[in-house]
Amino acid sequence: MWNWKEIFSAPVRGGGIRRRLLVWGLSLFGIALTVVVVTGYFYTVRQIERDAAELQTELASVTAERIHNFVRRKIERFSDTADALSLYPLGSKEQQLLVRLLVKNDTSFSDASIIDARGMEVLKVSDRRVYFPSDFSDQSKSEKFNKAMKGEDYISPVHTSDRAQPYVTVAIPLWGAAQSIVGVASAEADLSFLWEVIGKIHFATAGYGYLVDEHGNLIAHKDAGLVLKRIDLRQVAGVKRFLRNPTRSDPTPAQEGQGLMGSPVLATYWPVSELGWAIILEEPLDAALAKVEILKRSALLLLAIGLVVGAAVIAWVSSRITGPIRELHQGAKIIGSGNLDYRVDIKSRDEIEWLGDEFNKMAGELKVSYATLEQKVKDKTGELEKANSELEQAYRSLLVANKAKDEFLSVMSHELRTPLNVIMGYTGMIKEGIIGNVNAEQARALEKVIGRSGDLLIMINQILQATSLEAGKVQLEKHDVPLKNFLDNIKSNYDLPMNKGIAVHWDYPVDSVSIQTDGGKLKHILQNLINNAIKFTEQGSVTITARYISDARAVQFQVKDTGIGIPGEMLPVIFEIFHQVDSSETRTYGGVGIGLYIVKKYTDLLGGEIEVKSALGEGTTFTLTIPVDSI
Amino acid sequence: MKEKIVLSVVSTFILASFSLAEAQQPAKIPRIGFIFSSGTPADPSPQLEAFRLGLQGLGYVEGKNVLIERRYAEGRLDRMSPFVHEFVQQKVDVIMGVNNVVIRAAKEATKTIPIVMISSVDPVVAGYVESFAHPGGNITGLAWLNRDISAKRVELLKELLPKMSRVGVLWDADGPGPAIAFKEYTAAVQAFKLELRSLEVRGPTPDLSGAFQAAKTARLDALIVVANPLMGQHAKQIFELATKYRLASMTEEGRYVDAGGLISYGANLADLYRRAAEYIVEILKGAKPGDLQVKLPEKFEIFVNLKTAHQIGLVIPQHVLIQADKVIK
Repeated sequence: MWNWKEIFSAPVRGGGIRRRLLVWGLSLFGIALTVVVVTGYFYTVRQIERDAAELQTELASVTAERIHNFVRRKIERFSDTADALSLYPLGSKEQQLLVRLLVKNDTSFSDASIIDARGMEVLKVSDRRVYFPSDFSDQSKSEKFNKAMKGEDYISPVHTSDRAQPYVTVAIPLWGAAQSIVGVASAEADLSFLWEVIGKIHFATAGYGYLVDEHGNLIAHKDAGLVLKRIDLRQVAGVKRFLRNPTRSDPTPAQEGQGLMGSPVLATYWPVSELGWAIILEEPLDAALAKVEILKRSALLLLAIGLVVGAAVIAWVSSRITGPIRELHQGAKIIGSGNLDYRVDIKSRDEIEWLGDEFNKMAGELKVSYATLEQKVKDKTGELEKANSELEQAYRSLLVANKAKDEFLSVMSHELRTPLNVIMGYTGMIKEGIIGNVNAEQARALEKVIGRSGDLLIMINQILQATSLEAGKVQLEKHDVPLKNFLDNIKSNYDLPMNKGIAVHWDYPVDSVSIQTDGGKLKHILQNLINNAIKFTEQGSVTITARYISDARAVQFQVKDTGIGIPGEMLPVIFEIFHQVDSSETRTYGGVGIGLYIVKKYTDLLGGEIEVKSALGEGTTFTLTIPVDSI
Repeated sequence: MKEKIVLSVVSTFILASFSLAEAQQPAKIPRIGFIFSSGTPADPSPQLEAFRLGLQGLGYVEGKNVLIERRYAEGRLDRMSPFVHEFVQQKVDVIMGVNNVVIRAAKEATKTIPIVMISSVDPVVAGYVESFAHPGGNITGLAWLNRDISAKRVELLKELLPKMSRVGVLWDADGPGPAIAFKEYTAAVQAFKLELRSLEVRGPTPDLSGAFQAAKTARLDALIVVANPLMGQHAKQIFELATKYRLASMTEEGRYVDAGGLISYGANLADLYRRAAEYIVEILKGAKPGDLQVKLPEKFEIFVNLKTAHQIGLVIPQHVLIQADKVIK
């Protein structure tokens, strides 16, 4: 049905809407249901208790009223008969007949007698036995006679016959002329009716009742044997409460306590007015609580069923929600794998179905776009291939051009420098007078020729170097360069007096520091910087320093001059090819602006860095840092 | 998928309903074993009707939720015990003990099947029950204590015939109940200082002519007929003879007056059988017979047959007629 493993093993990182719906939905639903069921349970329990108390009270009241009415009717009946008896002489046949009719027609009255004013029985009748005159007795000391002779109706305490029939003795005065009492009419009233009433009391599952008199003696119970046993009921809960309040109804009905049979019960009482009796109702506590137990089990079952049903509903709802989403996901996967003909089928009649419809539309358009794209890609691929082919051709041309350039460089290197060297050579020979004598002016002219030729040679060399650098043809030759010797060598080139009034200072360590680098390139760099410093300084000094920086494991060279300086806006481009500070045709200083370009390139090749600080009219400082293991 | 969910939910509710509801099984219809000492299926006794009405009033309708297994002894005491054993074998739910023969046979045949008696003797003295209040055992019911009533019958007879001095008692010498009754009548007659003459007969064909001849010879003033199945079967003949011999007849049951007896005094049998139905219902509802108190009749009736009185030349005193519950003219 549901893949629970799949539901609960969904990645925690973000999946499992269904699981979350299940967990949250069930939690909320479970809490709500539990609250409702528990509240309902406790409310119902209280209602049951209240209903039980009300039922007991109502039943007790009704039964007490019934008993009272029964006894009252009997008394009234007997009283009516007494009124009739009073019309006839004591012991007369008329009285005998009246009494016989009484006991015969009213099943409640069995034995009846007439007692004269002295207390002697003069008449005695029964419907089930014969009384002879010898059976008549002296009642003058009896309570019934004495009370009746005072003009009061008498009702005795309940007593039982040897056949377990409950009786009360009733006695009523017989009134003669002038309101005098001439005798007493007495009868035994059978209260079996009470036992039937009491025996039929049945409420709840096991509730029952019984009747007690004003002393707490049991008068009537469905088990007649209990009545005969005359057990002490003063410790019975309902009887105890009655004896405390014999004239009032139970103020605390359905209270727990010991019952008639000694077991715990819920009991209440209701007094029978005028008689001093009381109805006691009891319900065994376990029977009373059984309802609560059943209610508890029902509540738990209801809770369990509710949770199961809730879980099923939530699972179904979540399935309804996540199903279409999963369908969409599946559809996206399939379409994403290339099957653009796939369409999702969602019929949830909600927003997700609309989403599904749009998804399908999108898939359709995607298919169209893809088809168009394919064509475009095909076209572009064709173009790309064409471009590729052109590029390849251009590359081949470039290679050819490069080769031509290299050949040119090689040729030009030789073809340009060779004549120049010849020019310089012969010019030098002429100047030296090797070929003939020359005058001073000729010598000066030749000196200029030689000088300019030398400049030209330098420029050609620089151009060739730059070209080689551009072409990537420059190779590094790394070797051990003892710093002191290296700088001594360079210094020796500048020990000759200069035409300018500038001092050249050298400051470098004398201890043995070596650099693993291309000494040739490094020398070129330094010489270029020194030559520039000297070139652009008319007066003052040029200072060349070298320091070993142990932290960086590098040697820092510095060439500082007090020359013309470099304008600030030129500093960023000073190392670019063909850039000069003064590029005008009438500039004072020659050159083509390649020297610093070569310095920068060589510095990069050696793995170092170069910085320049300068200001117009304040000189320039070049700082070159070369690592000790530069390559 | 949807169908599976619905099925699960429905199944859950069905299971819950089963677990809460009590299993409904068809209830067994209880059966009452009833032996009629007289009468036939075509002419059932009025006591049966009172009994059925009593059951009906308490919610038990014959043929619907209770069955009455009827057996007719037709006055034959020797048939009653086999009927009782038949009931015991059939395991009826309750046996009606309509007379002492049935009660004793049932008491000996079963200790488990409840017996509801209508006894004319003291059940404690007869050994049927332990006490009125708490019978114990499997017997309970009503007892109409003929012993006490016997004296009342004699008293009533004395009122009819103030000069009466000799009384005869016609009884079935084979019946255990009549034997006890005869003793009770003997005591009562002696209390009134009258002479008693025993007129014994035996079934199945009692010599009634011989008995009445003896009564004539003894110059009896009145006759007391002890009721039992044999007498009931021959009631018409008995009272025809009584009328013939101009004997005032006192009987114990009103039906005998209907058959021609002069006067009867006894418990209202219809009321007794109706109250017997209350015992039946209590027992069917689960009450133990031993816990149900034995009760006494509430009402005693006087039936008078004026026709018979006229035939024997007797004037019934007015005060007796006033007390009569039924007067046949």
